[in-house]
Amino acid sequence: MTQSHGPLGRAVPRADARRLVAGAGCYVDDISTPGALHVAFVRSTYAHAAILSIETAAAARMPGVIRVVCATDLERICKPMQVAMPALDMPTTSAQFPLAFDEVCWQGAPVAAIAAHSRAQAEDAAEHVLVEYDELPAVVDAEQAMKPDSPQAVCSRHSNIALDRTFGTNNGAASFAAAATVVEQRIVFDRQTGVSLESRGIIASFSPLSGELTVHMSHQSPFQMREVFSDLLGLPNHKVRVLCPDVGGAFGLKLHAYPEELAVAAIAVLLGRTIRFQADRLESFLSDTHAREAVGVARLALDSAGRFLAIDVEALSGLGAYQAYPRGSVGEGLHMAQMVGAPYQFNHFRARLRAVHQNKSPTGAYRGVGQPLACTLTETLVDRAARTIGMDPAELRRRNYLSAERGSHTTPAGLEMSAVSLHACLETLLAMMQYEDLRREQQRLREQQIYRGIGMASFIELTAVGAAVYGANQIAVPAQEGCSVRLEPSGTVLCHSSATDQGQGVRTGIAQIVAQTLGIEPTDVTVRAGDTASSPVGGGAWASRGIAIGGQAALLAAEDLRGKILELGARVLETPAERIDIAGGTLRSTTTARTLSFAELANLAYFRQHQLPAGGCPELSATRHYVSQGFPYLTANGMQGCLVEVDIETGMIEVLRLWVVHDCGRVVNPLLVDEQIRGGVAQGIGGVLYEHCEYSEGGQLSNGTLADYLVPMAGELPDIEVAHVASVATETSLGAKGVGEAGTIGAGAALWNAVNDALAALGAAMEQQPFSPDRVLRALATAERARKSAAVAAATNIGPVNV
Amino acid sequence: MSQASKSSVDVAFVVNGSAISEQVAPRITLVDFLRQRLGLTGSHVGCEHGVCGACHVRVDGQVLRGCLLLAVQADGAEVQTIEGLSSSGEIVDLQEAFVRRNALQCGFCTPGMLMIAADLLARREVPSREAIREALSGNYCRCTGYQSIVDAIEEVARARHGLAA
Amino acid sequence: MELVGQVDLNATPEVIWAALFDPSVLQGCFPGCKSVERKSESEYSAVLQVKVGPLNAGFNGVITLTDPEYLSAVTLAGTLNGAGAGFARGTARITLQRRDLVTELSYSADLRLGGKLAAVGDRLFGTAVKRNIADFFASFAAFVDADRKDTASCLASL
Repeated sequence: MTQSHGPLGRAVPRADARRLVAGAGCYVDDISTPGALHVAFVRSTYAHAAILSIETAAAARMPGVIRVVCATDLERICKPMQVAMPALDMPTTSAQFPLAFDEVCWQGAPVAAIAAHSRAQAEDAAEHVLVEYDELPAVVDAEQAMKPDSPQAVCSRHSNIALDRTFGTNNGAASFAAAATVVEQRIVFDRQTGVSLESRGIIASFSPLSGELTVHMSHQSPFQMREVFSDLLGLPNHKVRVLCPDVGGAFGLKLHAYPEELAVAAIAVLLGRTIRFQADRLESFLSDTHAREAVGVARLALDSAGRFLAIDVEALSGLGAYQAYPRGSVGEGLHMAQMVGAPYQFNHFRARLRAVHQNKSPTGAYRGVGQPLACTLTETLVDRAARTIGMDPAELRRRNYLSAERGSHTTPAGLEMSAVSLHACLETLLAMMQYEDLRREQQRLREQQIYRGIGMASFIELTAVGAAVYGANQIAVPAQEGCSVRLEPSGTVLCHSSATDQGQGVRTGIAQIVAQTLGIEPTDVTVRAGDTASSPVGGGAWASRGIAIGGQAALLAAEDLRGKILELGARVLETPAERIDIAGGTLRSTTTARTLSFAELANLAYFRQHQLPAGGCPELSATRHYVSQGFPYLTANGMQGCLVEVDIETGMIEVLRLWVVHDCGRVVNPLLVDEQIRGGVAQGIGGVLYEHCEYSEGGQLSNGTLADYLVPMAGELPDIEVAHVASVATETSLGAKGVGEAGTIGAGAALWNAVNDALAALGAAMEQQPFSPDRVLRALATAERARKSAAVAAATNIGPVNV
Repeated sequence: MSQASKSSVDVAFVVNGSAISEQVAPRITLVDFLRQRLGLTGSHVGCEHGVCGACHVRVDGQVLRGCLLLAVQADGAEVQTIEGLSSSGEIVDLQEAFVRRNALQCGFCTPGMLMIAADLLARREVPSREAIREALSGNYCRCTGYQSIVDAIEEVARARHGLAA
Repeated sequence: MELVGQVDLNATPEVIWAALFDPSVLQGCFPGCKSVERKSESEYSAVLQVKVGPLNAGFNGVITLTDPEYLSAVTLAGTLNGAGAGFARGTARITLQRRDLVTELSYSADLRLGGKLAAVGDRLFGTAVKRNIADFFASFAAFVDADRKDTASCLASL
C-alpha cells in the first residue's frame, strides 16, 4: 500500500481520549440499571477445606436481600468450567463450579452469593452467612506440590502436576560434557497480579420472555464470553449478547471466564432479572488471576570462542488451584520453557516444564505470558556467561545473535522464527546508552563506593498468535479478526472491528489504516468495537494482535470498499476506474476532470438511485476477516537497557535510566506504540522491584491491599527512551507486528542484569524477584561472609575453601 | 447490627455549582454518593482505601480522596468533580495536552490525574519534572508508565508561564 | 503473627490464677465480649463483637485453657470465627512470676489469621490485634488490682 503521505505512521491522537479526559468514560460500573440487584460474595477463608454446611437463613432475612444463592441453586442452570487442551495431551483437569460445592481450594474462592438491592445491603448480609469448614491440608509451595507425598490441592486429583512437557531433545548432553564453559542460572519468580485500576465488573440481564441474555462486562474478548455463557448456561448462541464498554485496563487478567462472572450470569437466568457485580480491591487481589510464580534453572554451554552450543532448562510453573477457563493457564510455563535462548544461535535445546497446582488463587494470562520469565532466565544466563569468560556482555551477544540474513527458520527449541533485527537493535541501543561512557563512569563511581549497574536484555516476542493454539485444542476462541466498513451519507466511514480496545488505541490505528486506504482523514472514520451484536466475529485483544491482525482485516476491508467506491464512481463519472484518482474524500476523473465527493456518491447510492446509470444496486460496504495462516505467530524483537544505582546500606535500588529499541515492523502510530512500550516497561520493573502476592504457610494471601502490594508510582520510574528499528513484516500486506507486550518482556531482564552488574563488584547476586531491600541486603551479607571466610582461609593457610 | 441503615442524615452542599440537598446513609462515601446518587461517574473507585487516587475530588478548594470522605462530611462544602472542572473550561489546556500526548490509555486514572495536575499548576512556579512526578506519586496508573502524563503537565505549566515547550 | 508481652499485676498469683479461670472475668475484660460460657473444666464458648482496626465484626469462638501448672503457667488457645471477616486462631503460653509485691504476667502468643483479616494484612490488623490484646491485659490488670476499692467483693465472688 502507498505510504508516503497520509495518516499511516502519523502520531494521531485517539478519538475517544476526548471523552475520557472530560470524565465522560463509560465503564461497567458507570452504567445505570434501575431495579437491578447487586451481588456480594461470601468467600472461603481457608486455602483448602471441606464445606460442611452453609447457613443462609439469617442472611436471607436481612434488609434488601432478594436471594442468597449457593452451588445447589445453580446446579441445573450452569455447567462447571473445565479446561481441556487435547492437543497438549494434558491430563484431565478439575471442574470448577461458579460457587463451590463441597470443597474450597483457595482462600477467596466464592462460596455463596447474595443478591440485594444495593451492594452495601448484600455485604451486610454476607456477614451473616455462616459457613462451617473442615480444614484440609494445603499445599502452598510449588516445589512442594511436585512431590509425590504432597497434599492434593484439589481432593479429586491424584497428582498436583497438571502438565509435564519436554521441548527439544537430549542431544545436547555431549555438548555440555565437551564444552569449554558451562554456566547455570537459577531464578525464583514470585507471584504477581495484574492490578488493573478498574476492577472486574459485569452486568447480566436475562429476559425469560425472550430467552435472551445481555451481558455488559469489563473484558477483552466478547465473542469468547458469548460462547462461554451460551455453552455453560445452555442458551442458544444467538440469544446471548456480550458488550464491552470502556475497559479500565486489562493486561490479560480480563481474558478469562471467572467463577464470579459466571455466577452472576447464572443468577440472572435463575431470577430472570438484571444482576450486577463489581469486584472491590480486596476481592481483586484475591480473585483476579495471578501470574509469574515460577522457578527456572537454565544452563548454557559455550565453546572456547564464546559461542553458544546448547541450552538446557528446568521450569516449574505454579498454577494455583485451577486453570483459567477456557484457555488454560499452562501458556506461561510453556513460553517460559520453550523461549529460553530465543534470540540466539545454538545447536541443541532441551527444556522440561512442570506446571503444578497449589492451594492459591488460580493463575492466568498476564502481559507477556511467560515470555518475560524466559527472557530474564536467558539474559541473566548470558550475562553470567560473559562474567565467567571475561567478555563484555554486549560483545558476547553480538557474537551469538541470530543474524538478520538467516530469515525464517525453525529453532532447536521448535520456535518458528521469522527474520530478526537483533544486531541492528543492539548497535542502536549501545549508541543511545552511550555504553562506553556509562562503563567508564561506573568504574569511576565504584572507586567512591557508589555502585551503579548497567544491564541489557534482548528479547523475541511472539505476537499475533494465530489459529493453531485454540482450534487444535477445541477451544471456542476466534483466532481471526474482522472489520466491516461502510460509506455513510455524510461521506465519512463507519467501521466495526472485532479487535477490542482497553486503552491501547487499536481503534485509532484502525481508523488510520482505513483513512489511508480511502484517502480521507482519520477524523472521518468512526470505529466501533466490543459488541457481539454488531462487531464481526473475531478474537478481541490478547497476545499483541490488535493492529497486526485487526489492522490487516481493516486494510482488506478498506481496500474492498475502495474498489466498490471506484466501481460506482466509474459508472457515475463515466470514466474507467483506473482513470479515477481518490484524494481528500473526492473522486476525480483524470480524463474529464469531473469530480465527485464521497458524500455525493453516497447520497446517490442511498437516496437517489433513480439517477444512477444502469448497472445494478450499488454496494458501499465491505466486511473482511483475517487470520494468520502458514505461520503460527509474527516474531518481533528488541532490546532494553537499564542503569541502576544500588544503595548497599539500605538495599534500595534506584532506576536511573531506561532504554528500549524495538522492531515491530510497520509503526502505524508512533504515539500509541511508544506509550504501549512505556506502560509495558513499567509493569516489568514492577515485577522485579515491588510486586509480590505474599502467602502465608497456610495459604492465606497476606497483602491484599494497595498499601501492601506495591506497584510502581510516578516517583519510582525515570523517563523511558524509545527508538525503533523497522523490518517490515512480509507475512501481511500491512506489515505491522504486535508490540503490546514488548515493554514487559524485556524490562525485567534488563533490570536483573543491571542490579547484578552493580552487585558483582561485591561478589553478590540476586536469585529471586522481587528485589526487596531486605533481599538485597541478605545477598550482600552472604557475599560478605563468603569474602571473610575466604580471607580467613587465605590468612591461616587452611587451603582453598569452597564458598 | 447494621447501624448504618438505621438513620439517614440530611446533607446540603454545592456540587459543580449546583445546590444539592439529599438524605444519605451516614456510611456512604462521598465518591459513592457522587457516582450513585448524582450520576457523576467521572470520579472513579479504584481501591476504597486511599491509595490509588482515582477518586480525587475538590472540596472547598482542596483536592481530597473521595473514598476517604463520607458524604455527610461534605455538608455545607463546595465540591467540584472532573465534570465541573471540564465544563467550566478550567482545565481545557491540560485536557488538550493529555489528548495530544496520549497521556491516557484506558482513562480510568485520568480524572484523578487531571485533578492533581490542576492543583499543582495553580501554584505560581513552573514545577520541575521531579516535582511533577512527586505530585503525582499518589495517583496510580497502570497503563502509561507516567512519562506522557509528566510530559503533558510540564508542557502546560510552561505554556501558562509563557515559556516554550 | 507472634505476640510477646508482659504486664506487672498488683496481685498475688492465687488471685490472678482464679481470675484466669473465671469466665465472667474474661468476659468483663475483653472489649466487645458479649458472653462467655463454660462448657467444661477447661473449655469456654464465647461470642464477641470486636472492633479490629477498621473492621467491626461478630465472632463466635471456643477458648481452652490447657497444660496448667498451678499458679505458674497455662496455655490459652482460641479459635474465633467471624463470618465475613475470617478467622483468628491463636495459642498463648501465659506464665506468672512473683517478684516482691507484684506478679509479672508474661505471654508468648502465636496468632494465625485467615480470610479477610489475613488478606488485609499486618499493616491494618497487626497493630490493631496487638492493641486489643493490650487492652485485655490492661483491663485484667485493673480487675485483679489489690488496691481496687471493691476488690474484696470481687474476690468474694470468685
